[in-house]
Amino acid sequence: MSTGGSHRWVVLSPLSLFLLAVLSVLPLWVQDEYLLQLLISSLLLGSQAMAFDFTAGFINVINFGFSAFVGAGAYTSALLVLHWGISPWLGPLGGAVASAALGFFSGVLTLRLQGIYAAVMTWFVGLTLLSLTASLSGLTRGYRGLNVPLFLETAARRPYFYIIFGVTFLTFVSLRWTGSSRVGLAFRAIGQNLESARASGVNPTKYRVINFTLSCAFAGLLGGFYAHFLGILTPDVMHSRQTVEVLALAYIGGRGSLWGGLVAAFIFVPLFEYLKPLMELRLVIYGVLLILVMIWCPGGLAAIYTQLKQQVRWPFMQR
Amino acid sequence: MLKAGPLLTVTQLESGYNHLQILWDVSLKVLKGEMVALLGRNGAGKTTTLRTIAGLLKPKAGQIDFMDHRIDGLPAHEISRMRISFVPENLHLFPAMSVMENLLLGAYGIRDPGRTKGSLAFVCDTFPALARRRKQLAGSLSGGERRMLALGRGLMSQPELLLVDEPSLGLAPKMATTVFDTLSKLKLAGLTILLVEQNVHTTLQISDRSYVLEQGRIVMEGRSKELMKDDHVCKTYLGSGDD
Repeated sequence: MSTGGSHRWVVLSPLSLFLLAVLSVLPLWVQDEYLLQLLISSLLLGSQAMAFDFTAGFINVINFGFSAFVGAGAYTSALLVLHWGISPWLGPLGGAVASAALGFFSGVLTLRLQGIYAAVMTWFVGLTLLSLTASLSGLTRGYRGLNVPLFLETAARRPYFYIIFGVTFLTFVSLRWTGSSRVGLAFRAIGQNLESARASGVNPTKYRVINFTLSCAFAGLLGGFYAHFLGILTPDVMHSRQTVEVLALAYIGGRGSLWGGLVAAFIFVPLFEYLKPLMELRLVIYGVLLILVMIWCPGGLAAIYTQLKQQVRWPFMQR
Repeated sequence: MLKAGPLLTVTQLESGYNHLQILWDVSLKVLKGEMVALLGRNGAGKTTTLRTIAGLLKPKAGQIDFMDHRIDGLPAHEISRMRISFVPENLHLFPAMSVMENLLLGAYGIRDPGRTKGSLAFVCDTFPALARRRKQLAGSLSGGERRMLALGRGLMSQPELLLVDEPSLGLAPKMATTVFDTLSKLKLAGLTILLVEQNVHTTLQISDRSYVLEQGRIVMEGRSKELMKDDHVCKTYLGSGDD
């Protein structure tokens, strides 16, 4: 389209490119394996928050079963590698396809419903997936845990950092690009005003299902990478608890911004890791933070950034 | 006046929200090139009529035909693609999107970039203020500008029929005059308009024909010029009339 053309291809702003560049060279200085592990955890949770935000922030549907889709991708990838002998590098793709298919079918079932009903249905889908995984112990070994082949022989964290960094980058760029495309315009229209979107010729069910399927595909892909990074899977990866953490990061980061969740992950994951006594209270603290964000700063970190940008820019460039 | 078959025919329409029926046996016709007004008090069913034609409400009974197609019961996005554009009353813009994005969404049903470009040029020409503010968020516009944007978005799909709901609501008198002037110009340019308005006086002046809705039923119809002299209309809607 003629008008959006100029900025549509520049998906990443100079600032985000700079931050990503800094992040990519960070392991060259960070020697501490523990710190590297933290960075990887932040990347993994942050990219999940971005995939989550792709539905919550764009089409305004909250996927309470999100972590179940992550887990479905993780288990699919692990089982493909274990039973069919495919390479761990291809497993996550299988995970993405499986989660996308699951997302598509639950989307077709649930996304005709209005917001809150759709959210509740996604939660039930998640619970069902969780109990299925736990009870099919012949296949998944249930709560005894499934040992998953790793990507690499080495125990060093640095190579894993680059693997996960690559996936995060891919997730960010793909979601960002889709979000700013013509299809993304329809997503945001549905999220902001369903009735106007319909009157503008946007088929809400179709675009919601597309969006949900895409988000689930990335959930599955990230789950696959998580599996072959961690080396062990239990049904707990699918627990609603995990979804709540992802949701909190996405909301604190700023709905609809995508990058906000990633930034929030880099703040809160290390924070809780260092404040060990608070680790147990993590969900409580996330809950309180969520309430505070909703009351005082519904736009999250992204909104704070936008405000700062306007205030800082003002003296130099008058409009 | 163009002599042609009706562009829109509504026959014995019954509609409402869930168990609350609002429209009873509403029949009306809009000919090509006409500006037809729906008059009535708050709650008379004017907006419900427009929303039902636009497919945002499913009719309970009756029939709606548009350019030889039966459209009642079709989903809103398909009706929009048949070139019926609904400009809603309480604006329903996309507040967190730019003016440009709002306009582009208006043309979402058009998959031909050339045509979208044409509509965009036309809308920017009709509303120069929008062109100047195209990068601004819709939520940051003034009331008058929002109304322009809502109209502009409605025009982006190059509609045959424009359904306009209360375009002067909440606007300063000067701004309202601009909106009515714009509607008259669009009509002169050949657009067919079905207009819902509370400003009965101006509406009767600019429209060709009018229907009067009371409690969900059409109680009167006729040429707007004649309705202006009608006793009932004068008493009830113009606050003047007999002594």
